[in-house]
Amino acid sequence: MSGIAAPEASPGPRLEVSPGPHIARAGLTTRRMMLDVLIALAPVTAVSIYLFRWHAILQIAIGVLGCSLFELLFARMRGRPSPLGDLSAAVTGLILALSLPWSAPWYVGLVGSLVAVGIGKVVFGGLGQNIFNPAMVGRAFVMVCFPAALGAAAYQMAGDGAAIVTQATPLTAAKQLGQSAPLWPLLVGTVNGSLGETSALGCLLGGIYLCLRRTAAWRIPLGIIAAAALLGGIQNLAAPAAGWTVLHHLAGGALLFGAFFIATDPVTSPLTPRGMWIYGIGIGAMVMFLRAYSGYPEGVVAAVLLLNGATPLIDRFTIPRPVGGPVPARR
Amino acid sequence: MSSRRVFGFSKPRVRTQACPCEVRRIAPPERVRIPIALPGQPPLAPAVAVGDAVKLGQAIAATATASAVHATVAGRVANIGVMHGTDGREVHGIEIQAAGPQDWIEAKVLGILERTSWDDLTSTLVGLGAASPWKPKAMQERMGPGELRPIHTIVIVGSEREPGLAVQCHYLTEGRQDLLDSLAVIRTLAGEGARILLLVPEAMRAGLGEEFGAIEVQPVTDRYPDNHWQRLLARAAGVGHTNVARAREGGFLLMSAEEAALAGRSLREGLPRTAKLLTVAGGPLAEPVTVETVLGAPIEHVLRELGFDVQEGDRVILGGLWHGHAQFDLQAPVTRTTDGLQVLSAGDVARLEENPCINCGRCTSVCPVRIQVAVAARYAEFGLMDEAYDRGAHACIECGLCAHVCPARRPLLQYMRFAVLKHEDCLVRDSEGSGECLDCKLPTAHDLPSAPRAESWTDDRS
Repeated sequence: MSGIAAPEASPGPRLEVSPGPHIARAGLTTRRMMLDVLIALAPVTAVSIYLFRWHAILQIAIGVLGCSLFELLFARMRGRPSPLGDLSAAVTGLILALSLPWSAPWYVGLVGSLVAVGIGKVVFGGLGQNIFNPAMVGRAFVMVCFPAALGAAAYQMAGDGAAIVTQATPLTAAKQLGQSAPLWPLLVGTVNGSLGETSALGCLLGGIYLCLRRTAAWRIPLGIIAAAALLGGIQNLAAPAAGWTVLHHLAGGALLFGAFFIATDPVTSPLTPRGMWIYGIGIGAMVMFLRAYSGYPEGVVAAVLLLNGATPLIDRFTIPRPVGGPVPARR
Repeated sequence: MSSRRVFGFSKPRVRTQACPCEVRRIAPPERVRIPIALPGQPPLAPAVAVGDAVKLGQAIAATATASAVHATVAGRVANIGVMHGTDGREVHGIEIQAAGPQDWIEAKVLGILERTSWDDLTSTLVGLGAASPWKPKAMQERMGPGELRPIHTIVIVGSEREPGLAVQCHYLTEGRQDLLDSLAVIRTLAGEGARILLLVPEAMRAGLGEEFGAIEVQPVTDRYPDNHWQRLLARAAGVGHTNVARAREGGFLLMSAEEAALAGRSLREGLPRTAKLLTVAGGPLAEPVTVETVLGAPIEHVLRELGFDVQEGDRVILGGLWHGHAQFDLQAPVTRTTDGLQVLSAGDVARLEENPCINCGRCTSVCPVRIQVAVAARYAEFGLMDEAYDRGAHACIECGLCAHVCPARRPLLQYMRFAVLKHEDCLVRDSEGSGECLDCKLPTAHDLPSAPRAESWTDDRS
């Protein structure tokens, strides 16, 4: 039987074909989500530049440029078009830089970038395929490779910056010296620490923006904060003499920075609301456990990486029951 | 169509607009292309040959068990062969070139309904091309067991198939008499025990008077996708999820108000149905208009009559904006189930891309039937259907919300449709109705109740 009309037999304008839905949502792209993260990181970036001056600028430049450069390089090696347009490399670089101490030598940021992009992301197949948060992979790698440059002592060096850099970080002081800290500097950020983690208010400001834009799932930071507050409260009740209250636990260290900007990375966090709660509470509990019992003063990096690894399992465990029930088992 | 904006995130809250009162009638086309089979099913046998002269309403194809298909213009049969259906799949069709005076065949009007025998009534309906599931006795002997199941619930959908369309509402207002005629016939055919449900948009419930009598009129929400046919059938049946493709087998009959009303009109006039209403939007039209054209009319004709100038790179969609099909050929015909025709200029629509999923979970939280879409779609993309069904892909109603909210602009609806089509293939391959696909052993049993459930019409989401 002959065809009524082959496509070439029907002259007319060439039409665009596409599966539905045919309704545009102009403002919603991966790039826009990444841009949201960069905007949300602006307050803590500003605080870090105010506190650590050109040290902060240098670290951020190394991180952002390093990650972008390696991303481009690996894309070339794989014969792919430049992926820089989606801004994910810039986000990784900025988060990596903000997680480093001000005093880290230049090669720490560069090696961290290489590992973050290369081992953290590209080997899995690029954006969306990675299991672990790339910035945290880079951070964990340099933490192991350059313990001297990233240990507690590295933060506390007589530099040319503000007086803050001669203090111990609040968590180190609490852990090693048993000193409590006044709460106000912890909130505003006028304390020593990794570049981005010092200001609790800055983290909150950016984090709330992210949640309102729905770029970050609000359940994750809320789960982390709730778990940390609960365990911190118990710890405070058990040892009230230390003077390290729930607010100290939340505002000191990288907990809020991690809760809002690191753990909420959509790629490495669960899909379903139930999974997000499990993931958030898991990270919060893990951070508190590591702070209390590990040799390190802080545990955000390890906690996030651990729960990243559990994410596929959490997703599998929290498959929603579809309306009408699942497919019955095969005979 | 509206959406609620919350901090830059718009929550789709799509509502059907009010029914525009006027139906614009347009000139008949010079050429029609009429499909004579549904995709995936054996075609009807053509009753005409190329070159034959046909009158308006003349039967051009029929089989022993299906309703006839009729010419919708008078003229000459130009071609019989394979054409593209609305969804791009190939179907058999007949092309007729309009010529000469547009004369109708002789009308065959039945007498008073109560005095007409079952065989007369059903054979007239089948002959008029109404997709009647009730067949004359002689035809019943040749039908499969699935088609012979008694029908216990008839659901007539008076709500629109998608937001932005205004077709069905005309049969609740102007065309109400046709619908009432049809309901009387359906009542006669279905018998006293059967339940007849007429679903109407909430906003139109008040305007419908007592004349519907014993027919159960139920308001349905105008919120998409709660008014999707799959959801409506599930609600009518009192089950969580079901497949419209299996409705007949479960004893349910689901038809649009248009389908029902035009069958009623056919019976009254004694002439087969040729008309089709279509809501057209976009292009030079400030407001969408509903036009009456004939089945098989090329969309090019409809667009030309309305003053459209389709440009290179435009998107022409048959059906609604949510799950309508973009056409590659302006010669594509208007069919029974296409309620809409929309033209979007290049640049109006953001393109779907092969971007990686960033696992944000928006598709999963927006899904009305709770599928883990992000993962299911990735499995379907790579042909891992078992895993896709484990994540709920079989429950998909193809509403398109997941693709609408996807920041990576992945063609999620396409992947999910692929999974659903694979599942429907299983339903087809379950030829003996044994409840299991012959090829993959996936269970296929329908979950519809075997008798009407009077209490089952409940709103499960509000």
